[in-house]
Amino acid sequence: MKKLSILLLGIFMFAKTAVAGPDEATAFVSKLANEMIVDVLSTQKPMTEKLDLFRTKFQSAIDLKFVGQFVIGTYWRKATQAERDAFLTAFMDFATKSWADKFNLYNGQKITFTGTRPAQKGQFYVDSTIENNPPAEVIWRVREKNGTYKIVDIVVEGVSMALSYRNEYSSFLQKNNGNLSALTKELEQKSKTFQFSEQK
Amino acid sequence: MKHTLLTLIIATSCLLCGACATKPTDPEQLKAYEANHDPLEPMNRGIFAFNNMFDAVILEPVAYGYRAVTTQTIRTGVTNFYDNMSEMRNIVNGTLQANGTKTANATKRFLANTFWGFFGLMDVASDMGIPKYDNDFGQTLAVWGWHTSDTYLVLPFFGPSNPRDVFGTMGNFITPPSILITCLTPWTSYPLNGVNYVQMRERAIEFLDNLHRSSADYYATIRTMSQQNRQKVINDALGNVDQETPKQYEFDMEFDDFE
Repeated sequence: MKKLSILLLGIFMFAKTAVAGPDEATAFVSKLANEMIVDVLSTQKPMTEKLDLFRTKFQSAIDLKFVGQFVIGTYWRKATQAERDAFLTAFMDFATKSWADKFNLYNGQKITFTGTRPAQKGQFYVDSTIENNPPAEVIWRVREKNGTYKIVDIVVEGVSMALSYRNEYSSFLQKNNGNLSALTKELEQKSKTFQFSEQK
Repeated sequence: MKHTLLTLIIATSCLLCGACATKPTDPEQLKAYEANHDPLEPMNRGIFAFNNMFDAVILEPVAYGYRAVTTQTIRTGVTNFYDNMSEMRNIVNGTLQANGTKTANATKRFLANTFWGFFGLMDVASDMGIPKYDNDFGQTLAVWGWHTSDTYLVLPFFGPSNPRDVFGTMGNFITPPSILITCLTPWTSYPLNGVNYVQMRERAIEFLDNLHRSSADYYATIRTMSQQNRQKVINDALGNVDQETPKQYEFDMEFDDFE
């Protein structure tokens, strides 16, 4: 018993003092993927209830502020503080629903984590494969800040979430004379009328 | 008939929108414009709208109908059947790329599924642990040296493409199984091809619905996603396994903090 508690204490201390590294990044992502998909979306609960649980997990795990800033790129700098805040709120709400729907289509295939590579400063790519035919490659881009990890991008079969949003929004903004409020309104509208895909 | 229709569509779209996009003058917008590799955007958008209309009026309803009258087991069998036929294309292109592993892999899968899987209705090869890799003539052209082909093109009925993959698509037509199906009587070849499009569309119902609903600009979303995905497929074909800097993924995600 004593041995066990020392061991536990050791693990605890190690976890606290562990330097940021690839293993922690993998552990963070695999735990999160499990929590979001297995514990929330794969259950038989009604969608509204699932969405509430998913929202908590998703918004605490994804650096939506960072991603939100990235996806509107140059328009961020030109926008006023009020415009930025309104956009971030709308984007967070909308991205949560859209990704709950995406993860919800996942049919419980096995995810295998295959390794971690360092990216830019404080960022890591966590590689994983979803068992499928052919297997699907998913890269999680993770950013470390003051010992906590946050996801900044998910790349499925070469398609980056952040890059895709950025491309789509810059195209939308270009057509709307760079008016960020128009995009915010569009996202609010889409979020309000969002319908979840029916399970097959 | 087919050609007249195609020419007509392209000509109309050109007339309606003017074939070429105007380059933005703002340097940052110019950068975004160049990253899209879409100088023919107005024409592409026209064809994209046509494809979407065709999808909404014919293909998607038929896909829903197909789903309604079949069970998941039947649909899996149908998909397996077409996947197994496509191993012929994988064998040919594996050979053209002088890729022994891919050729052997596809041959093994084709033999196993054809003989033990009731003409491909069952995917016994995957159960035996022989993985599936899709190969096509576009990848072969890339391996042969046409590495970069960025200009975005939307083809009527076929959707997102680029100059290399236009030739790739043509190459696929004269490769088995397509060429074999074409040689059959129309009464066999049309249904055979038709069911294939419908089963592919059925599998994409939820995915495309999600995209459509969540896009502020559906055209731009499909453009960037198909470009990124194709780039990955080409990188894999080129053996560019160094994914640390996949070509489309070389972007900077550093910002000043703004808590």
